[in-house]
Amino acid sequence: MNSFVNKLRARSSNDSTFSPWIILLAVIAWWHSWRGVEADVWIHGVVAAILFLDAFGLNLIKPHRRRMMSARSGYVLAAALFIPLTFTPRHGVVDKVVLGILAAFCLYYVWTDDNITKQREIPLLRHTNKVWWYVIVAFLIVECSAFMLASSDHGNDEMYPALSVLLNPFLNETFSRGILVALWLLLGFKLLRIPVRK
Amino acid sequence: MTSRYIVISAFLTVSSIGILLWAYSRKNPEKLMPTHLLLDYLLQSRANRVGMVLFWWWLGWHYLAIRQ
Repeated sequence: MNSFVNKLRARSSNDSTFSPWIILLAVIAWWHSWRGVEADVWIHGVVAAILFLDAFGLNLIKPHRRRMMSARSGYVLAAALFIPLTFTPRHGVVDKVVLGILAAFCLYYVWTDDNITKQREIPLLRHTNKVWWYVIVAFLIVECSAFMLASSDHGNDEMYPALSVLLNPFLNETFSRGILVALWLLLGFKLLRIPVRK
Repeated sequence: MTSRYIVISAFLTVSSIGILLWAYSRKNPEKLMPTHLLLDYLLQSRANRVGMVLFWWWLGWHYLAIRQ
């Protein structure tokens, strides 16, 4: 107990901060446990636990110094993800392997030292943050409501379609899957801060 | 089938609000911070970075790799 308290006191400025994402990931883990999808419970639960400990200075994984990926490496990575995810059969072994490797890469790539500038949190930032959280929560409410209504109606997901049910016809066709995969990669590269043009 | 259309309308409404907010923030950066600046700020924190990237990765995993 004492060592835990000492670690809390010894928090350096490089330790992560408590983020609302920790709570959201824990809630998502609970949601998947209610749905009975064990793998998703583990994915979200373990990451929420790691971030929770990290927020209190217990670094299970030591963060490293950030190195940005070059645009050329970004193109190679994009092609290495786009081609198998689009042109191999959906739900196949290749998809699982590619996404498994991507998970390990992402965790390594983003597990870097915090670089929080000590600027004052301006009201505009707080306001914008709040507005986007409302949109995200509204979207999650629609998705969860559709799932729960379908479950209560003997799994009638044609009447109450979740997003996956609506997207399935597009994801089953190679051409439309390619467009969705490209959009998904573009969003991910923005989040990972991988340059998408020279 | 009315329920189906209500659910689809709800998805479209929330998505449209997101797109409108994104466009509005680009036009009026003094009223709503543009999303790229908001991301710049949020992604400074490791927990935010991991949370957002996990959520993005999981979308790919859920829709492409796992049979629902």
